[in-house]
Amino acid sequence: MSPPEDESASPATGPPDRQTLQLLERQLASDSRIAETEFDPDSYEPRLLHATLDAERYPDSIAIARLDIRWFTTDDFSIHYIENHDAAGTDTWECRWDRHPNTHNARLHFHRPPDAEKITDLSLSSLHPLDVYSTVLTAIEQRIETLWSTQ
Amino acid sequence: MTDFDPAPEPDASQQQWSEGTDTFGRVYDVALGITSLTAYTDIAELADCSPNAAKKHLDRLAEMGVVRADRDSRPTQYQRNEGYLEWQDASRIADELTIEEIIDRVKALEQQRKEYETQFETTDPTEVSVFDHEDHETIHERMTAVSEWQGVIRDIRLYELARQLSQNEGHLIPA
Repeated sequence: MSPPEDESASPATGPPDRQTLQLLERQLASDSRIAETEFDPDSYEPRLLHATLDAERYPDSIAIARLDIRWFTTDDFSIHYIENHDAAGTDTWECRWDRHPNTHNARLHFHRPPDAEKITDLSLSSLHPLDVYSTVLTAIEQRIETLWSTQ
Repeated sequence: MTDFDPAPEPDASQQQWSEGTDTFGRVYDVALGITSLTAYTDIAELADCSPNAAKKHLDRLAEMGVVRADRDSRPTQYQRNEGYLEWQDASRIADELTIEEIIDRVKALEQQRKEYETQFETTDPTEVSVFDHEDHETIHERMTAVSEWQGVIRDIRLYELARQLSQNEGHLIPA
């Protein structure tokens, strides 16, 4: 396998990073913008962290919005933001902040909304989980402002 | 609405993650996310405090076992202490679950491990090629599966440690 040129070390992502997932869960649980957090499958075997955003902050047209966070021991991650625009969950607006090896984009990249299919390279000033967390929550804040202004 | 910015500068006037946390709490949280040796001056920047305060708290965390220090480097470098944190996780499991529950979980994980071994036709997750696919979603699915497989193997070991702690009433070695 040939990892991307910019990162020759650690071609794989490693197992879920329990410590970082627990750290992010504590932050999200105390964040007023977040209504609920949950580990999948559970807190003893954390692999995926779900966070439901506070619905009060969204216009009525958005049924529910959530974040799905994976973090790996190699400092790789995948942070998926999904808005459901109907109760059935068929009409979604989503995007994803990703860091993992692949053959066609930078290790750090972004899956653009509204369907998270188009991928662009991404650059962040810090990859520390708390900085990535701040960046993602700020981007979501701005998204919510856009939603209100286009009502 | 195509102008979504994935990397906005966090608004400095709005606390992003440190709300209601004192300096020690911020240094502690930052340290938990530091997976390779990092100079305390850089950790101070991440924790939004003075280098002296960061060093003082990091030294205290090193005494507690939460972080490891490399004092030979200038400036001193720190990273989270994986061994201590694994023990802490195992200790919590030993505290909250019964030995029977731990054994049941290990059984379920052993079953999952077998399923991954069958799916990928090997017993070694590091042998599986994940990233040399063109299709991004395929990469993603395989990456997640292999990572969870590695997670299963780790969790089995963690439960083994938890069982040992539980059987020895919290001690690593029989009293």
